[in-house]
Amino acid sequence: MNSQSLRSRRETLAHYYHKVPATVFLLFGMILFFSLLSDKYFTVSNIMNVIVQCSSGVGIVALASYLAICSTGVDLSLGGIVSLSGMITAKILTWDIPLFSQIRNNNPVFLLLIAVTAAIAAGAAIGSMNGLILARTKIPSFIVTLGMYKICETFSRVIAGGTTIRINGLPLFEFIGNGSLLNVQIGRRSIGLLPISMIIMLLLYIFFSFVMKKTRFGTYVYAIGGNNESAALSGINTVLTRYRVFLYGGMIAAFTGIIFTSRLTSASAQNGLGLEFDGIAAAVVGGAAMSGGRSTPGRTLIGALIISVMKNGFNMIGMSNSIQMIAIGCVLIAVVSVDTLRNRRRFV
Amino acid sequence: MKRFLGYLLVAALLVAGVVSVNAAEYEVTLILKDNTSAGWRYLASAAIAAGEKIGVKVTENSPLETQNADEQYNAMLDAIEKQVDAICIAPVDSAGIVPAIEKALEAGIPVFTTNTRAFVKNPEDIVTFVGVGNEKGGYDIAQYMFGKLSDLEKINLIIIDGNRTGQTTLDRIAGIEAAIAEDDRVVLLDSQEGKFSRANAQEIMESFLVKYSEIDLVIALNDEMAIGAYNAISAAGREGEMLISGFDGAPEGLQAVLDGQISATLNQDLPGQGSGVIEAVKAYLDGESVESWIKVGGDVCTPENAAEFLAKLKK
Repeated sequence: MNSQSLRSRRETLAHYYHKVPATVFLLFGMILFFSLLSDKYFTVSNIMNVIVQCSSGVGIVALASYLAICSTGVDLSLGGIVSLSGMITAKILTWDIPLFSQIRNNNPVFLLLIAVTAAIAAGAAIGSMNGLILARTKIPSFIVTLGMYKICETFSRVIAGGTTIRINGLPLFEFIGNGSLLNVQIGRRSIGLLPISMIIMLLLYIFFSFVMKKTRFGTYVYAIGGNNESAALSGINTVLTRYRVFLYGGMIAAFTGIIFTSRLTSASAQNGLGLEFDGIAAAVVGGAAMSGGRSTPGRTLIGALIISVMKNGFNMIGMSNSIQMIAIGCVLIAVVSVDTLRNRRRFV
Repeated sequence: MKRFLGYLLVAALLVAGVVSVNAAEYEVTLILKDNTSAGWRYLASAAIAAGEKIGVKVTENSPLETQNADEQYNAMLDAIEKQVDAICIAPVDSAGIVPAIEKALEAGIPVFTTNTRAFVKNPEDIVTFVGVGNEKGGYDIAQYMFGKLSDLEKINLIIIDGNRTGQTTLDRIAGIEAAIAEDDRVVLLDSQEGKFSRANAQEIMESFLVKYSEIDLVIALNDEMAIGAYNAISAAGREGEMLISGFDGAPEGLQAVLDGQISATLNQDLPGQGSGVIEAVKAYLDGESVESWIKVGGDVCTPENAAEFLAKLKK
C-alpha cells in the first residue's frame, strides 16, 4: 500500500469520525460505564426497559422540541398537550353518555379509534393555535407556548373533574403502552422485544427524518433556523412554515399523551407536565442549537436515549434522585461544551 | 477524544466511590412521593435506619418533583430490573401504579405499601399496608375541630385538599365529609388541591382570605399545608378569626401546635411507617407471616399532648 492511499484512507476515517456525532460515543460510553457498575444493567430486559421508558416519556416529545428549536422557537406547551390529549383519550374511553356507552359495548375498537383521533386532533388544535398566535403577533414563542401550557393543564383538570380517570377492561388500549408484538420468556417474566410504544416512536422519527431531509418543508425549517430574514427574502413563507412546525409539534406530543394514559391505565392532569423541559434537554444534547437550524431527528433520538439511559442507569446503581439531577445537569452542560469545541476545531 | 475518555474515567471513579459495596442480607427499593418535603424525609430516614439495624439495604428512589406518578412508575420498573428483594411504595396515583405492581409480581418481587394504599385488583397482591386509618383519622380530626368551635352556631369551613389521585386524600376527605354530615352547623365554603405543598397552600389561602370575609375553620390535609395556610392568615393579620388543623404529626406540625399556630394535627407516625414497612419486609422474606394491614398512629395531637409526641419523635 503506498503512502498516498494510506493517507487518503486515514482522511476517510477522519471524515467518518467527524460525521459521527460525539453523542454516539457518549451514549455507548455511558452504557459501558453503567454495565461496569451494575451486573444487571446490560441485560435484554433492562435494555428494553430503557427503550420503553424513552418512547413513553421524553422520546417522542423530544422530536417536537427539536422541530421548534430548529426553527429558532421553543415549545413549552408540549407537557400540557401530553396531559390534555391523554385526558381526552381517557374521557372518551370511559364517558358515561348513551352514545359512547353504546359504541363501547358494540364496537370497542371503533371507540378506541375515536379516542385516539380526538387526542391527536386536540394536539393539532393546540399546536395550530400556538402557530396562529405566533404568526399574527410578534410575541416570542416561549411566552405564547407557556400560556398555552397553562391553558392545556387547566382544561385537563376540568375534564378530570379533580380526580384520576381510570380505564378498566379495555385490553386493546392497554396494549398501546404496555404491549409488544414479539415477546421472549426469560425465567418467569415475558420481555417485549417489539414494544408498540417503541414502534410508534421509531415510525415518527423515520417519518420526520424523511420530511426534514427530502421535503421542501424540511429545507425551509433549516433555512429559517439559519437566517430568518434571508429565508424570507428568498421567498420562503416563513410564517406558514413556523405555523406548521408548531402544528406538527402538537400532534407529535399527543402521541405521548395516548401512550402515557395507556401505560398508567389512567389519566391524571399531572401526567406529562414537565416533559417539555426533558424534551428540550434531549434535543440540545442531541446537537440542536437554540439559535436554530442545526441537528436532525436521528441526533435528537440519541439525545433522548442518553437522558433515558442516564436516569435508568443512576437508578440501577442506586444513586439517590437528588444527586442524579446534578449528574444530568453536568452531562447536559458538558455535552454541549464538548460539541461546541469539537465543531470549532473542525471548522477552523 | 482522549481527554473526553479521561473525563469519563474520572466520573466513573467518582460514582464508584459514591456507590459503596454493602453486604446487607436483603436489598429493598423504597419509593415515596417526593424527595423534598419534610414528612417523606422522616419516613425515609426511619426506614433506612431500621434497615441498617436488621440487615436490609434500603435504597430510596422517590421522584424529584412532588406527586409525579410517571417517575414513580419508572422507578418501579428500574427496581424490577435491579432484581431487588422487595419494593416498598407510597403511590402518588393509587390506580396508575397497578400495572407496574403487576410487573413486579410477575418478576417474583413482593410489593409492600406504606402510607398510601394501591388499588390492586386482588388484595393479596400487596403483602402488607403499613399506615394510619386515613378515613378514621380525617373523621377524628374534623370532629375534634368542630368540638373546639362548640360555641359557634355556624362553622364556615375551608378544606385545603391534597391530591385527588391518591388514596390518602380520598379517604381523609371521606372521613371529613362523614363528620360534616353529622354536624349541621358546618358549611363547606370551598376546597382546593394544595398538592401537600406549603407554598401551594399559602397561595390558595391568600386567595380564599380575599374571597371570604368570614372563615371559622381551615382543615388542611397535611401539616405542611396547615403551616402554609397559617402563614397566609398571619400575613393578613386574621389569626384570631379562625382555627387551623393539620395532618401528619411530623415535628414541624407538632411544634406549630405547641406554638399555637395550628390547633391540632393527626399523628400518622411517619417514622413508624418507615421502620414498620422495612421490618415487615424482613419478616416476610425470612418466611414469617405478616398481617395485611399494620396499623400505626391515629391519635389527635392537641396542645395538651403535642409535647409528648414531639419528645417521642426526637428520641
